[in-house]
Amino acid sequence: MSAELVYALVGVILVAAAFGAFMAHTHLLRRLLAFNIMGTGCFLILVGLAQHKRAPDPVPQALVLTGIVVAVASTALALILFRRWFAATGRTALPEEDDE
Amino acid sequence: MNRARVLASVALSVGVAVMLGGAVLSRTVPSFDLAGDLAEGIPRSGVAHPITAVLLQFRSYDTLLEIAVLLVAVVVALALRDPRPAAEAVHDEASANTAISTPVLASLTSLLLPLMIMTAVYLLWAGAFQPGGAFQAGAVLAALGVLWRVAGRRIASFAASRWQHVGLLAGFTGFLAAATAPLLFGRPLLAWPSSYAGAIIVAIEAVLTVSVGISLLGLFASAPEPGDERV
Repeated sequence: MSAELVYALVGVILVAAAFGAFMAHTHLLRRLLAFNIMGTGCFLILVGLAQHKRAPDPVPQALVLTGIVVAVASTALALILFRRWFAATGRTALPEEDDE
Repeated sequence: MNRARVLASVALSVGVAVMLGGAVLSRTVPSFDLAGDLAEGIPRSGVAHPITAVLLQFRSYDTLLEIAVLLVAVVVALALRDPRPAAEAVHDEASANTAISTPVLASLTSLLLPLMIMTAVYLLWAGAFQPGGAFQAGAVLAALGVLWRVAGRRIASFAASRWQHVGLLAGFTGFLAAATAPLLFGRPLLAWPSSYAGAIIVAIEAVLTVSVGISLLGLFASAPEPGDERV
Protein backbone atom coordinates (compact mmCIF):
# COMPACT_ATOMS: atom_id res chain seq x y z
CA MET A 1 0.00 0.00 0.00
CA SER A 2 1.47 3.32 -1.01
CA ALA A 3 2.05 6.17 1.44
CA GLU A 4 -0.60 8.49 -0.01
CA LEU A 5 -3.23 5.77 0.35
CA VAL A 6 -2.33 5.32 4.03
CA TYR A 7 -2.80 9.06 4.64
CA ALA A 8 -6.11 9.08 2.77
CA LEU A 9 -7.47 6.02 4.57
CA VAL A 10 -6.52 7.45 7.98
CA GLY A 11 -8.40 10.58 6.88
CA VAL A 12 -11.41 8.40 5.97
CA ILE A 13 -11.33 6.77 9.43
CA LEU A 14 -11.15 10.20 11.11
CA VAL A 15 -14.09 11.52 9.09
CA ALA A 16 -16.22 8.43 9.74
CA ALA A 17 -15.45 8.25 13.47
CA ALA A 18 -16.02 11.98 13.94
CA PHE A 19 -19.28 11.77 12.00
CA GLY A 20 -20.47 9.03 14.32
CA ALA A 21 -19.49 11.07 17.37
CA PHE A 22 -21.22 14.11 15.91
CA MET A 23 -24.45 12.16 15.56
CA ALA A 24 -24.22 10.40 18.93
CA HIS A 25 -23.58 13.42 21.17
CA THR A 26 -25.79 16.39 21.83
CA HIS A 27 -23.41 18.49 23.97
CA LEU A 28 -22.46 21.43 21.77
CA LEU A 29 -18.75 21.34 22.63
CA ARG A 30 -18.53 17.64 21.79
CA ARG A 31 -20.28 18.30 18.53
CA LEU A 32 -17.89 21.14 17.71
CA LEU A 33 -14.89 18.92 18.50
CA ALA A 34 -16.30 16.14 16.32
CA PHE A 35 -16.92 18.60 13.52
CA ASN A 36 -13.36 19.86 13.72
CA ILE A 37 -11.94 16.33 13.64
CA MET A 38 -14.14 15.64 10.62
CA GLY A 39 -12.65 18.69 8.90
CA THR A 40 -9.14 17.54 9.79
CA GLY A 41 -9.90 14.18 8.20
CA CYS A 42 -11.02 15.94 5.01
CA PHE A 43 -7.79 17.96 4.97
CA LEU A 44 -5.77 14.78 5.46
CA ILE A 45 -7.53 13.09 2.53
CA LEU A 46 -6.98 16.15 0.31
CA VAL A 47 -3.31 16.61 1.14
CA GLY A 48 -2.51 12.93 1.49
CA LEU A 49 -4.00 11.79 -1.80
CA ALA A 50 -2.58 14.56 -3.90
CA GLN A 51 1.09 13.78 -3.91
CA HIS A 52 2.95 14.42 -7.06
CA LYS A 53 5.92 12.12 -7.65
CA ARG A 54 6.62 11.87 -3.91
CA ALA A 55 6.54 15.68 -3.58
CA PRO A 56 3.58 17.63 -2.17
CA ASP A 57 1.18 19.11 -4.70
CA PRO A 58 0.93 22.87 -4.01
CA VAL A 59 -2.67 23.30 -5.25
CA PRO A 60 -4.42 21.13 -2.60
CA GLN A 61 -1.96 22.42 -0.01
CA ALA A 62 -3.08 25.98 -0.71
CA LEU A 63 -6.72 24.86 -0.63
CA VAL A 64 -6.21 23.18 2.74
CA LEU A 65 -4.39 26.24 4.10
CA THR A 66 -7.42 28.34 3.16
CA GLY A 67 -9.65 25.71 4.74
CA ILE A 68 -7.71 25.73 8.01
CA VAL A 69 -8.08 29.50 8.40
CA VAL A 70 -11.81 29.32 7.71
CA ALA A 71 -12.14 26.37 10.14
CA VAL A 72 -10.36 28.30 12.91
CA ALA A 73 -12.55 31.36 12.36
CA SER A 74 -15.77 29.34 12.32
CA THR A 75 -14.73 27.37 15.42
CA ALA A 76 -14.08 30.59 17.30
CA LEU A 77 -17.43 31.99 16.16
CA ALA A 78 -19.18 28.77 17.20
CA LEU A 79 -17.57 28.94 20.65
CA ILE A 80 -18.75 32.54 21.09
CA LEU A 81 -22.27 31.54 20.04
CA PHE A 82 -22.22 28.60 22.48
CA ARG A 83 -21.09 30.82 25.34
CA ARG A 84 -23.90 33.27 24.59
CA TRP A 85 -26.39 30.40 24.30
CA PHE A 86 -25.23 29.03 27.66
CA ALA A 87 -25.42 32.50 29.22
CA ALA A 88 -28.93 33.01 27.86
CA THR A 89 -30.46 29.60 28.62
CA GLY A 90 -28.08 27.74 30.95
CA ARG A 91 -28.11 24.74 28.63
CA THR A 92 -25.27 22.97 26.85
CA ALA A 93 -27.34 21.36 24.10
CA LEU A 94 -29.85 22.57 21.57
CA PRO A 95 -33.48 21.69 22.29
CA GLU A 96 -34.65 18.52 20.60
CA GLU A 97 -38.07 17.30 19.59
CA ASP A 98 -38.34 14.74 22.38
CA ASP A 99 -37.52 17.41 24.98
CA GLU A 100 -40.33 19.01 26.88
CA MET B 1 -27.62 9.15 25.26
CA ASN B 2 -30.13 6.49 24.39
CA ARG B 3 -29.30 3.17 22.77
CA ALA B 4 -31.13 3.80 19.50
CA ARG B 5 -29.18 7.00 18.95
CA VAL B 6 -25.81 5.29 19.51
CA LEU B 7 -26.71 2.38 17.22
CA ALA B 8 -27.88 4.72 14.47
CA SER B 9 -24.67 6.76 14.83
CA VAL B 10 -22.46 3.68 14.59
CA ALA B 11 -24.35 2.46 11.54
CA LEU B 12 -24.08 5.83 9.81
CA SER B 13 -20.41 6.08 10.73
CA VAL B 14 -19.65 2.68 9.21
CA GLY B 15 -21.64 3.63 6.12
CA VAL B 16 -19.65 6.84 5.69
CA ALA B 17 -16.37 4.93 6.17
CA VAL B 18 -17.31 2.34 3.53
CA MET B 19 -18.48 4.90 0.97
CA LEU B 20 -15.58 7.30 1.48
CA GLY B 21 -13.03 4.49 1.57
CA GLY B 22 -14.47 3.07 -1.63
CA ALA B 23 -14.26 6.47 -3.29
CA VAL B 24 -10.63 6.87 -2.21
CA LEU B 25 -9.64 3.38 -3.36
CA SER B 26 -11.39 3.57 -6.72
CA ARG B 27 -10.28 7.08 -7.62
CA THR B 28 -9.34 7.82 -11.21
CA VAL B 29 -5.91 9.08 -12.18
CA PRO B 30 -6.24 12.72 -13.30
CA SER B 31 -5.70 13.19 -17.01
CA PHE B 32 -3.94 16.53 -16.60
CA ASP B 33 -0.71 17.43 -14.84
CA LEU B 34 -1.73 20.25 -12.51
CA ALA B 35 1.59 20.36 -10.65
CA GLY B 36 3.48 20.49 -13.95
CA ASP B 37 1.31 23.37 -15.24
CA LEU B 38 1.90 25.15 -11.94
CA ALA B 39 5.67 24.71 -12.14
CA GLU B 40 5.58 26.24 -15.64
CA GLY B 41 3.57 29.20 -14.39
CA ILE B 42 5.78 30.05 -11.40
CA PRO B 43 8.22 32.32 -13.31
CA ARG B 44 5.44 34.70 -14.40
CA SER B 45 3.62 34.67 -11.04
CA GLY B 46 5.97 37.15 -9.34
CA VAL B 47 6.83 34.89 -6.37
CA ALA B 48 9.10 31.86 -6.13
CA HIS B 49 7.19 29.63 -3.72
CA PRO B 50 4.46 27.50 -5.36
CA ILE B 51 1.98 27.62 -2.44
CA THR B 52 2.20 31.42 -2.19
CA ALA B 53 1.83 31.59 -5.96
CA VAL B 54 -1.34 29.48 -5.80
CA LEU B 55 -2.76 31.47 -2.86
CA LEU B 56 -2.17 34.96 -4.19
CA GLN B 57 -1.80 34.59 -7.93
CA PHE B 58 -3.44 31.55 -9.54
CA ARG B 59 -6.24 31.06 -7.00
CA SER B 60 -6.26 34.53 -5.44
CA TYR B 61 -10.05 34.63 -5.73
CA ASP B 62 -10.19 31.94 -3.01
CA THR B 63 -7.95 33.98 -0.73
CA LEU B 64 -10.02 37.12 -1.31
CA LEU B 65 -13.17 35.25 -0.27
CA GLU B 66 -11.30 33.67 2.65
CA ILE B 67 -10.42 37.05 4.13
CA ALA B 68 -14.04 38.08 3.56
CA VAL B 69 -15.21 35.02 5.55
CA LEU B 70 -12.80 35.93 8.32
CA LEU B 71 -14.13 39.50 8.37
CA VAL B 72 -17.75 38.31 8.53
CA ALA B 73 -16.90 35.98 11.43
CA VAL B 74 -15.29 38.83 13.38
CA VAL B 75 -18.15 41.22 12.66
CA VAL B 76 -20.66 38.66 13.96
CA ALA B 77 -18.48 38.02 17.01
CA LEU B 78 -18.23 41.75 17.75
CA ALA B 79 -21.97 42.14 17.28
CA LEU B 80 -22.56 39.40 19.86
CA ARG B 81 -20.51 41.18 22.51
CA ASP B 82 -22.22 42.06 25.72
CA PRO B 83 -24.17 45.25 25.04
CA ARG B 84 -24.08 46.48 28.66
CA PRO B 85 -22.76 50.06 28.76
CA ALA B 86 -20.55 49.26 31.73
CA ALA B 87 -19.15 46.21 29.93
CA GLU B 88 -15.79 47.84 29.44
CA ALA B 89 -15.28 48.60 33.10
CA VAL B 90 -16.44 45.15 34.19
CA HIS B 91 -14.22 43.64 31.55
CA ASP B 92 -11.12 45.48 32.77
CA GLU B 93 -11.85 44.52 36.33
CA ALA B 94 -12.32 40.90 35.32
CA SER B 95 -9.05 40.76 33.44
CA ALA B 96 -7.29 42.42 36.37
CA ASN B 97 -8.72 39.74 38.67
CA THR B 98 -7.74 36.82 36.46
CA ALA B 99 -4.23 38.13 35.80
CA ILE B 100 -1.34 36.50 37.59
CA SER B 101 1.14 39.28 38.33
CA THR B 102 4.56 37.80 38.75
CA PRO B 103 7.81 39.49 37.69
CA VAL B 104 8.74 36.46 35.56
CA LEU B 105 5.51 36.61 33.57
CA ALA B 106 5.77 40.36 33.10
CA SER B 107 9.36 40.28 31.87
CA LEU B 108 8.76 37.20 29.75
CA THR B 109 5.87 38.80 27.89
CA SER B 110 7.96 41.95 27.40
CA LEU B 111 10.81 39.86 26.01
CA LEU B 112 8.53 37.87 23.75
CA LEU B 113 6.90 40.95 22.21
CA PRO B 114 9.81 41.96 19.93
CA LEU B 115 10.72 38.33 19.24
CA MET B 116 7.22 37.43 18.09
CA ILE B 117 6.91 40.54 15.95
CA MET B 118 10.25 39.66 14.36
CA THR B 119 9.08 36.08 13.76
CA ALA B 120 5.90 37.36 12.12
CA VAL B 121 7.83 39.69 9.81
CA TYR B 122 10.25 36.89 8.95
CA LEU B 123 7.40 34.50 8.13
CA LEU B 124 5.80 37.15 5.94
CA TRP B 125 9.05 37.78 4.09
CA ALA B 126 9.87 34.08 3.79
CA GLY B 127 6.52 33.39 2.13
CA ALA B 128 7.88 34.64 -1.19
CA PHE B 129 10.28 31.73 -1.62
CA GLN B 130 9.71 29.11 1.10
CA PRO B 131 6.88 27.98 3.39
CA GLY B 132 5.45 31.00 5.20
CA GLY B 133 3.17 33.86 4.29
CA ALA B 134 0.47 36.19 5.48
CA PHE B 135 -1.71 33.71 7.37
CA GLN B 136 1.14 32.14 9.29
CA ALA B 137 2.52 35.56 10.19
CA GLY B 138 -0.96 36.74 11.17
CA ALA B 139 -1.37 33.70 13.41
CA VAL B 140 1.85 34.60 15.24
CA LEU B 141 0.62 38.18 15.72
CA ALA B 142 -2.69 36.89 17.04
CA ALA B 143 -0.85 34.53 19.41
CA LEU B 144 1.08 37.54 20.69
CA GLY B 145 -2.16 39.38 21.38
CA VAL B 146 -3.68 36.34 23.08
CA LEU B 147 -0.56 35.95 25.24
CA TRP B 148 -0.75 39.58 26.32
CA ARG B 149 -4.39 39.29 27.14
CA VAL B 150 -3.99 36.04 29.08
CA ALA B 151 -1.03 37.56 30.95
CA GLY B 152 -3.34 40.36 32.09
CA ARG B 153 -1.87 43.19 30.04
CA ARG B 154 -4.43 45.81 29.12
CA ILE B 155 -5.56 45.50 25.53
CA ALA B 156 -9.16 46.44 26.17
CA SER B 157 -8.50 50.03 25.13
CA PHE B 158 -7.27 48.74 21.78
CA ALA B 159 -10.26 46.43 21.40
CA ALA B 160 -12.63 49.37 21.84
CA SER B 161 -10.77 51.76 19.57
CA ARG B 162 -11.35 52.71 15.96
CA TRP B 163 -7.90 51.30 15.15
CA GLN B 164 -9.22 47.80 15.60
CA HIS B 165 -11.95 48.44 13.04
CA VAL B 166 -9.47 50.00 10.63
CA GLY B 167 -7.14 47.01 11.05
CA LEU B 168 -9.99 44.55 10.54
CA LEU B 169 -11.16 46.23 7.36
CA ALA B 170 -7.71 46.98 5.91
CA GLY B 171 -7.03 43.42 4.73
CA PHE B 172 -10.27 42.91 2.84
CA THR B 173 -10.60 46.41 1.42
CA GLY B 174 -6.92 46.54 0.44
CA PHE B 175 -7.14 43.17 -1.28
CA LEU B 176 -10.42 44.16 -2.97
CA ALA B 177 -8.89 47.41 -4.22
CA ALA B 178 -5.88 45.53 -5.59
CA ALA B 179 -8.19 42.93 -7.14
CA THR B 180 -10.38 45.46 -8.94
CA ALA B 181 -7.58 47.84 -9.98
CA PRO B 182 -6.75 45.83 -13.16
CA LEU B 183 -10.37 46.37 -14.31
CA LEU B 184 -9.58 50.09 -14.72
CA PHE B 185 -6.93 49.19 -17.27
CA GLY B 186 -9.11 46.80 -19.24
CA ARG B 187 -7.67 43.64 -17.70
CA PRO B 188 -9.63 40.86 -15.97
CA LEU B 189 -10.20 40.82 -12.21
CA LEU B 190 -7.03 39.98 -10.25
CA ALA B 191 -4.92 39.87 -13.43
CA TRP B 192 -1.91 41.91 -12.43
CA PRO B 193 0.79 42.57 -15.03
CA SER B 194 3.62 40.16 -14.21
CA SER B 195 6.19 42.96 -13.87
CA TYR B 196 4.27 44.41 -10.88
CA ALA B 197 2.82 41.15 -9.54
CA GLY B 198 5.62 40.47 -7.05
CA ALA B 199 5.36 43.91 -5.42
CA ILE B 200 1.54 43.80 -5.34
CA ILE B 201 1.57 40.34 -3.72
CA VAL B 202 4.03 41.41 -1.03
CA ALA B 203 1.96 44.55 -0.30
CA ILE B 204 -1.27 42.53 -0.05
CA GLU B 205 0.42 39.98 2.19
CA ALA B 206 1.71 42.70 4.53
CA VAL B 207 -1.79 44.20 4.94
CA LEU B 208 -3.34 40.73 5.26
CA THR B 209 -0.91 39.83 8.05
CA VAL B 210 -2.05 42.73 10.23
CA SER B 211 -5.70 42.09 9.41
CA VAL B 212 -5.53 38.34 10.07
CA GLY B 213 -3.75 38.96 13.37
CA ILE B 214 -6.33 41.50 14.53
CA SER B 215 -9.23 39.33 13.32
CA LEU B 216 -8.08 36.20 15.17
CA LEU B 217 -7.36 38.24 18.29
CA GLY B 218 -10.77 39.89 17.98
CA LEU B 219 -12.43 36.48 17.84
CA PHE B 220 -10.56 35.42 20.97
CA ALA B 221 -11.14 38.66 22.84
CA SER B 222 -14.86 38.89 22.14
CA ALA B 223 -15.58 35.67 24.01
CA PRO B 224 -17.14 36.38 27.40
CA GLU B 225 -14.85 36.34 30.42
CA PRO B 226 -15.11 33.33 32.75
CA GLY B 227 -17.65 34.12 35.41
CA ASP B 228 -19.13 36.84 33.25
CA GLU B 229 -22.03 34.65 32.25
CA ARG B 230 -25.42 35.74 33.41
CA VAL B 231 -28.09 33.11 33.62
